[in-house]
Amino acid sequence: MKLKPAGAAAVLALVSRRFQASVTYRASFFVSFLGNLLFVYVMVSIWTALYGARHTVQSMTLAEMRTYVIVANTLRLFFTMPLEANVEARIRQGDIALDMLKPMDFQLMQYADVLGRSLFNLVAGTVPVLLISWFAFGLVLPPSPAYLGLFLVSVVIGHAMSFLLAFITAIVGFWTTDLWGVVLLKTALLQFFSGLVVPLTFFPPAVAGVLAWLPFQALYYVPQLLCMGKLPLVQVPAVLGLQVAWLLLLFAFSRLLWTRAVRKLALQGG
Amino acid sequence: MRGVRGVRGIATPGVSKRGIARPGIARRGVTRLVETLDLYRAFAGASLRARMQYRASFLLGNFALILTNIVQFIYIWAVLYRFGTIHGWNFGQVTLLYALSMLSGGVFTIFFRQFVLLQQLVQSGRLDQYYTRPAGLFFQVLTSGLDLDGLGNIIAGLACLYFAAVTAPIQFTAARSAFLVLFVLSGAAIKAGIAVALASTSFWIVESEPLMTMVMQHLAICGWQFPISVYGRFIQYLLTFLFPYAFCNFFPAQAILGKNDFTFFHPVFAYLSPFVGVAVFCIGYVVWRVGILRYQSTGS
Repeated sequence: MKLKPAGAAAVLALVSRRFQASVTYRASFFVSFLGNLLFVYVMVSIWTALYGARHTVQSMTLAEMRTYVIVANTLRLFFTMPLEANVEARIRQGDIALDMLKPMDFQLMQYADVLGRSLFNLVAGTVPVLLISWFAFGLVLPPSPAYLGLFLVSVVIGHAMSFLLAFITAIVGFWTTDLWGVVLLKTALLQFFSGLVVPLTFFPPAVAGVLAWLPFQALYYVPQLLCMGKLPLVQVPAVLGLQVAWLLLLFAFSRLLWTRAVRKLALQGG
Repeated sequence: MRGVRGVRGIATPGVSKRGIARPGIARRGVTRLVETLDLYRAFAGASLRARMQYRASFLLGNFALILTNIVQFIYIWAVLYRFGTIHGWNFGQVTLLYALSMLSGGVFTIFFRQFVLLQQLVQSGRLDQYYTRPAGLFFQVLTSGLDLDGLGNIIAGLACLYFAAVTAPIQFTAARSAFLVLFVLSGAAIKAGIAVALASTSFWIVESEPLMTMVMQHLAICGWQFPISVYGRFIQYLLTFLFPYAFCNFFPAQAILGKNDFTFFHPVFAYLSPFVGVAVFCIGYVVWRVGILRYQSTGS
């Protein structure tokens, strides 16, 4: 399937529309905001208890560890997207047929939608929770502006990766009758293998070695390493290069799956 | 379905508000119980058969649950592999916390999952349909979604339990096993009571799901894997008195392990779970009854 042409203006319009629409989901946003704050507290408590009297574990001090879980959890608000549920509902109700008539590529449309929502979460969720946590628990700041810049770049890559993984999961919904199990599994895999709740270096070396080659670490682990300056600058191109390579691979895969899905949809008659 | 409002007061002869046809007063109790059980089997069987129409989805769901549990377990292992203990709890002991949480959660999911979806029942007007049938509402909601997805949790929970028994280590005597079963059922009752009470708020507020998410996911997760003694006083009190998830695993695990990590609480709390379970379930049911009485259809 060929990519349909779409003006940047149209994409921007979609992004801003979703951004504004997000304001209306006040109750559910408030809950995820509070939940995130609570989770930060939970993770900080758990790691403080784990460290106990220890000062440094796996070359991470307790203060760095706290920063790690705080930044990872606030990023989670930015990376969380209701994409699978949306697409599943559209498949079930048949709206997907309408989407395909629109003069914009379906995947691009979904990305614009997700981006608007994520930007809202970033402004209203990530930043305030980060500031509150900074006051409550303290943060270790990036060692130099270069690392801060690299961190931001890796966050953008992580967000795109999160989108592609969600999109691929959603497309699986064309084949299975409901997505609940698939999404559950994806969430669990992401939670632990992306470095969200535990830095990958804490896994036994063999496991950590495998995880370093998988795409999941692009979400939380790599941004965290850059944020804290734990990755020597000479290694940065290789690590970020691997993320970009995964991004391209997953993008190609998602296009392939999408083409198949459309064919199946056509056979089914929508 | 605007006209449905009046249906609640329906008084068909021979049909009680809660059960089905009543025979003579004397045998009512026994007959009623037998009929209720029959009805339960019929209703639950129907919902199970409906679920089994999607066999692939059922298998996939359970497979995903088991894998999710394995991944969570790997997380606990990875953390304790590095650190040895957390607040004095070793790997086997933490695994027992997790196993109790999974087992009670599995039992809860199988029998009470449908209450989590109450908001949808209310909003779609399906609850109004239930009013027109000659069986209790609670009973109908209960049987409308016997959810075998909980099996995945139970299988994983049993595996964790075995693992905990070997590594903690725990000698499973007859008494201890009996306590374990009792604690799991109590934990399920606590989870059910909280879920029913929170779900019933959809009779007052249109959106009950954010509240349920807050408590049943965000708050409950605090006690899932690690002892609540790692938290500050506020969260510990919250999980002990207001939403007593601590009685699903933290306190009963100490009875089984013979541990003494009660922080602000009395050691007798280790054995209180069954009482808390009954009490919380009753509170949940009362909130449900009150909610039902003031319920007015959304009219959709």
